[in-house]
Amino acid sequence: MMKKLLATITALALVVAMGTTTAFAAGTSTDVTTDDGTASIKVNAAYSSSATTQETISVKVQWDAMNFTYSVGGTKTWDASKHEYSTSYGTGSWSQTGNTITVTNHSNVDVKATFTFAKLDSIKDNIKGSFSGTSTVGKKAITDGVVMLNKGEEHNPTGADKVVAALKLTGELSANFNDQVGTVTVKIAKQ
Amino acid sequence: MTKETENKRKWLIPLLCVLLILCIGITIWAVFFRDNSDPITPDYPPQGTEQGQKPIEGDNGTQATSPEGGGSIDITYNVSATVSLSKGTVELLYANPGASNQNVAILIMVGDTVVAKSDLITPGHGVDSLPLEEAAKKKLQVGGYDAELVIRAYDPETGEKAMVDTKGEMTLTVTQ
Repeated sequence: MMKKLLATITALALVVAMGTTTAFAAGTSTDVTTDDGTASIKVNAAYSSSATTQETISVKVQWDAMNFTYSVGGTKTWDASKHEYSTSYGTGSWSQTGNTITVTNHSNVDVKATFTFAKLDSIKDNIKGSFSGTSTVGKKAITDGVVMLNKGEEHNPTGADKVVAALKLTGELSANFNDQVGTVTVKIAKQ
Repeated sequence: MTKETENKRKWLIPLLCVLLILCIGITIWAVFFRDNSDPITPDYPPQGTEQGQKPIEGDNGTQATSPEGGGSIDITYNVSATVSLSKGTVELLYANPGASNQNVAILIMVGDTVVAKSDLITPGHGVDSLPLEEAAKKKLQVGGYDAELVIRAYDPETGEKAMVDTKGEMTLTVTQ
């Protein structure tokens, strides 16, 4: 009787043990194979990067010659009694040879580009500058000298967002002036 | 009055006359001919090549071509930099890649105070450290500051400063 009870308990223990093994195997049934007494278990791994991304500003700034000419028409009348000309000037206008500044954003952040023209302190004429242009990717127009440029796309450096800002001068220039009138500043800030 | 004293007086009068003439001469020179004008410090003094510049590893950018009178600079920098008051340095990353066709000089400003400045950084080179200006060392305190990076471009052949300046924003962390 005792032997039968022991045999039954042992059999039950074996069944339970096999069942447990089967349950584990079922959980990873596709990962474990047996062949000639050996077992292969797949080991899975996933890459997790904790590297921090540094914000890097990288822009290309290109500018043209920035040569401007103020032209004034009018008439010169010869005064025979005084032997001198009296001149009446018409309305002046500006023309330019190369008046663009191109900013291309290769940064990993969006940037705000601000264009400003400042006349030199020594220039007494009331000359002002304004900029116009539209970004190529974001299609944002320059407003009050400011334009947003999209950050660079990975693996696409040639498709970087850029803007060609055209400088326009207004105001009158003194006669016979021929020198630098001002400077352009491009300010870059991350967004 | 002895003869000896009389002889001394004879020499004294011509000597005083000579000294008087000399004084008048110096006065005339000082008033009319001396150059009183102080030299005007140039806004953009001629600069040498930055001694601390290092070649940019792996930079094989082709130098850009620009129309006459124009220019092109590639600007690459980290938006944060660190000031060490004890070392007297500013640690930053600024590069003037080989694609640029201009030399550049950079200034780091906090308000009107120049924190650090470089000499000319030639294309294909960068800097990772600049000396802290003495004036800034006295003014800066441990903490964070909004700063401005000013980049001035210079023609490598003529040394002429470009009419286009570039500025960037950055943050400075000041440590002891």
